[in-house]
Amino acid sequence: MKLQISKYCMVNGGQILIDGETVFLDKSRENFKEFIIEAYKQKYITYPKFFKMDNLAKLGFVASELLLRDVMDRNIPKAEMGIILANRSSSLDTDEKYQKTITPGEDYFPSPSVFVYTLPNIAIGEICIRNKILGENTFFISEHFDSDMLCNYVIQLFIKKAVSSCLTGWLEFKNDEYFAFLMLIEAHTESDKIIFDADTVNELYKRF
Amino acid sequence: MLPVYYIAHDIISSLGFNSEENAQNLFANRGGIEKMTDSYFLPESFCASKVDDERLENSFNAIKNKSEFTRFEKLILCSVSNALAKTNIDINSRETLIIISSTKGNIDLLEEKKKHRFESDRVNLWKSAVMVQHFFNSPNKPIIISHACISGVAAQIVAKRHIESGQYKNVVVVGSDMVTPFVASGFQSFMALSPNPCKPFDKTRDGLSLGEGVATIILSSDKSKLESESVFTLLSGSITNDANHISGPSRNGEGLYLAIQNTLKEDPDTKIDFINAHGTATVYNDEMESIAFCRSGLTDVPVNSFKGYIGHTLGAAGVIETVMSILSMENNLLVKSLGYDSCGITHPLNIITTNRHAEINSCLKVASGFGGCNAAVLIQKQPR
Amino acid sequence: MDKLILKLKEEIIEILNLEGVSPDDINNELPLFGEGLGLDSIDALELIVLMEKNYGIKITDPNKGREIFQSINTMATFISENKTK
Repeated sequence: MKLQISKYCMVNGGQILIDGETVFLDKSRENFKEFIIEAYKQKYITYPKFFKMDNLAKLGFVASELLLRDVMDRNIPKAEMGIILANRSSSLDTDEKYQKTITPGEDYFPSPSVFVYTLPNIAIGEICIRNKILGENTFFISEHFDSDMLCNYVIQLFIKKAVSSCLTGWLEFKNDEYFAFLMLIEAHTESDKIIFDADTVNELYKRF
Repeated sequence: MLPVYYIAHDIISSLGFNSEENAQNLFANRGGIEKMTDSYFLPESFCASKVDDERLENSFNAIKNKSEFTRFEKLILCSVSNALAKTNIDINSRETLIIISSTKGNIDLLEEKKKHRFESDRVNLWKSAVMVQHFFNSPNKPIIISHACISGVAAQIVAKRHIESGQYKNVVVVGSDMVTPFVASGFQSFMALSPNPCKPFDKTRDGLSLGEGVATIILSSDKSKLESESVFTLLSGSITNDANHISGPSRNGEGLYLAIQNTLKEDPDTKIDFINAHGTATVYNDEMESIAFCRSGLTDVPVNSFKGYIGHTLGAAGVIETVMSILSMENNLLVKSLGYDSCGITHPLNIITTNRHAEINSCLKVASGFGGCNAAVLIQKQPR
Repeated sequence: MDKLILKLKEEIIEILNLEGVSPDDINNELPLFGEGLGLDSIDALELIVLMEKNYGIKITDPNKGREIFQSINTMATFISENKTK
């Protein structure tokens, strides 16, 4: 089964790259929140609910927006598009934020809008809602980016016909450090596209 | 295609410390949800189903190892050990993979008083996985799934795919979560907790009861490893998304309906004998499920929720409830849906109101969760 | 009442992350949910927290909440009649 990386997006260190080319650069921001909101505005993304998302969901949202731009109008069957993501810290950054809202004593005010983001798969949910993607979605946790596991698993999804396209990669956020590496995988039909397998994915990942 | 068999299982919950004890209480319609008055969890009292701490420590001491493990990890180690004892698969082999399903793992380590008991990164699920891997001397890094309340069903589907790919012969799927102040307060802030033991599908249902526990399912492509009289096969499964709202289920049950369709399309002639629903007893979830089951033409199939017995065990739910479904199938017993008195859904279902014997050769297990996710698996029983 | 209304609007904008919305943009009679300001079920729950945290008013029935949160005016009236902080 031959699959291709139709498009890929990387977000890290003040930069956003699509297919290896910088599409947004701003290393001047104080923190991630300012950086990602600036990217949102400069890349003409319009989605008011964006501002309610936690950092992990904001990261995944902007990366997927830029990745899927010009892709979603290609009539990709949305019930067959999978989203398979992984990270190291789960939703820990938001978990710690939530924990503060349940400090025993006078400051005990559990926040539902923070609590809802204390699950890493909510980031996937936001991408699904935005793009009306109904297909297979799973969030894995691992100590490090495991391209072998992820690639072999996604390939298996195609073999089993569980998906006919798939958004996959690493979406990590902790202590204001962010790393998004999202790829759109489809059947190999374009000769100039990178073949999707553990080796090529590792190469791309290492470049960053 | 490589078939995937259920060859061993275990449950540790408020209903008991192994599958047999859980079955005894389940079949006697004895629930394990109790009123929690300890303000450690919540300022006000609420209902939950807890694993007995003393019994857990005693169970753990029986299989102890020198290192310090967290409560969450102890649950996993006890249950996996129980399940392994029932079969002769080799946990030390490259052919055996461990998959862990959990929403919050060691989240209680974020509490001020517990912060310094373990190293700072111990709150991470991957760290617990490392502890589990080393305890069992497994050569493979466990896979961890953290995908809200469908994690346990999703884990079985992920396991199936790994066996079908030929990469592994056996997969030990273990799902666990605990009742913690973190989770209790969160659901309380959503006004999703019932002050009383939950009543799935009932007219007066007013929220869920939290639960904790662990369950293990060992899946294998090797039929010779089977200990049971019957052959249980994981036939198919599917995971979908509603693409509607991050915390509320879709009003037309679209995602769950699709998951069921995908699951059943592999063998459209299979007659479903029993459905174990997600049935959390929130107003919206149960209504959504009734719509999805109706759209799927399954309104006559006997259906129950086990959450009236053990509450919502989150990342453990999909595994615990699958084992309970298999126990039902092993005993050809449709178990009463505890907490249900009268119909509270717009699309009436065939809710099991008292235990009754029936030939259960196929079971559909479903789950739904925050983030709009849904999952379904189809389990088949055949004589050996 | 005007001071309370302004304070309330600022709090709502901050707590519900209403980016690019200023107090002037929120009409006092505007329905907060559905069409008006487009708030949803999680926002409603967060407003319940706001009531307790900033005004000491505990709302335990979400249906009661729906009545109170119809507009800025209904909220302000309810707060001025019931606040304990």
